[in-house]
Amino acid sequence: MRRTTRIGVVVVLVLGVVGRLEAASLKVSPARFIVHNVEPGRLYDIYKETGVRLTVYNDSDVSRTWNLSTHRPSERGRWETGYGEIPDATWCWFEMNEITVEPNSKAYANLYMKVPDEVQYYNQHWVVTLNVGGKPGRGLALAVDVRVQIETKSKVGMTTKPYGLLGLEPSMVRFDNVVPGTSRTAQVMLYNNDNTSHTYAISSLFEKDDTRFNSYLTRFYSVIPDATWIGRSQDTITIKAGERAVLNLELKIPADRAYFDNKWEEILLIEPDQGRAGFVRVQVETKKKDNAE
Amino acid sequence: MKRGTLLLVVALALVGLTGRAWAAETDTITVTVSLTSVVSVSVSPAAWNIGAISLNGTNGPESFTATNDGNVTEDLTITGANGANSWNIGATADLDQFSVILDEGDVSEDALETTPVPLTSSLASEAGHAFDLTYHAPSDDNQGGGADHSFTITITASASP
Repeated sequence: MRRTTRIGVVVVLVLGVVGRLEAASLKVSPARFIVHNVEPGRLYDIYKETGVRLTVYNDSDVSRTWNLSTHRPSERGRWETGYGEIPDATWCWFEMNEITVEPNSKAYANLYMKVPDEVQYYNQHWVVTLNVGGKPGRGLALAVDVRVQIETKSKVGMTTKPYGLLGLEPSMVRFDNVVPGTSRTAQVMLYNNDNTSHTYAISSLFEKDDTRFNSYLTRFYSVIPDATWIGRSQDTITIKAGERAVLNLELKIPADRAYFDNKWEEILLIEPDQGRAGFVRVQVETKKKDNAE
Repeated sequence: MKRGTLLLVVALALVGLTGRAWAAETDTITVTVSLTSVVSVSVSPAAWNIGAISLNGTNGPESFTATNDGNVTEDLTITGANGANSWNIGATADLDQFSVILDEGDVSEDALETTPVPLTSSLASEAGHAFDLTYHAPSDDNQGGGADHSFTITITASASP
């Protein structure tokens, strides 16, 4: 009998209440961004140093309040190939935990970042996910995730292994003032920090069909016209557990005046037989035409 | 130092500077960003009023459309939440446990969880994604009748990687 009494009076208000609709749209900018050259141990006010902050728009006629939080990307969905997860999402934080946006207006959210001062955190490529979401309660909620690709300072001469199952030293190779028709060489150390042997396949990320170039390119750089201009000593490398190996690179830009005064990038993807891939960012800046022979 | 030796040293130094690759050593961070890129999502209809429902009752399927109002290709996820007054969301209806089933037509049905479930990926700007939700009330409850067991469903948008 008690159960019969309950029938019909259990009230479930799921997606909003008539006359009290939650937000039906949410808009945030930018959609994503890359922070380059982050030095472990330094506190960064991202807006103060770069002018970049989140803008949250409110196109409705009522005030909206949103929660702001940071997350490891695996809690939220897919993220960019080659990047690992930030070890601790609290290394990035917002100035405030919530933001109120007045009707037909916009508001800004400032982000701060500090990676612990440890040598192992150089040469890292990580993603942290920033969430702008509805306050807990009833009804329909919308949220936006903005991924931040964090690239810590590239460093050679590491006194300890780089963090992660796949460590790289350096994480970025830069060929500067390159004269077309000449060649340059560089080396990258690959660390297998796993407890099992791995074979790594090395390839150009930009040659993969589904790559969105804009997700990886540094500002002012374009994709290198021909991936074969950056030769590799091996296309696969097998490294035993806990050991390391050298990958040799050779840059050869054809002798052509059109290739002076360019800024190109390549992303060398390093994919283990199991686990997440890493990458080496290769930047090429050719000699300016004014100085060309 | 003889002039010839000095020139050789200078020449070797120049080769060393220009012939090797180097990692960036500047002290400032830089950001690569498209400030005009926008992630935006809307959902229609904006409400689903289940109202009073009996134990073992079902509401739906209710049809919704999530639209990419931004200017980048988006992934969408959908996340459930536990209800008020000790009703939890689960894969199936049970004691003090309700379920919300996501149906996307030709895609298999998924029960919403408190962690994000993929709704769609690589949704083009201005495109919409249709889906149905069906609510299943608990098979029994220990909380008593007349209680409010409202909960939240969240649609999250992000730029596709």
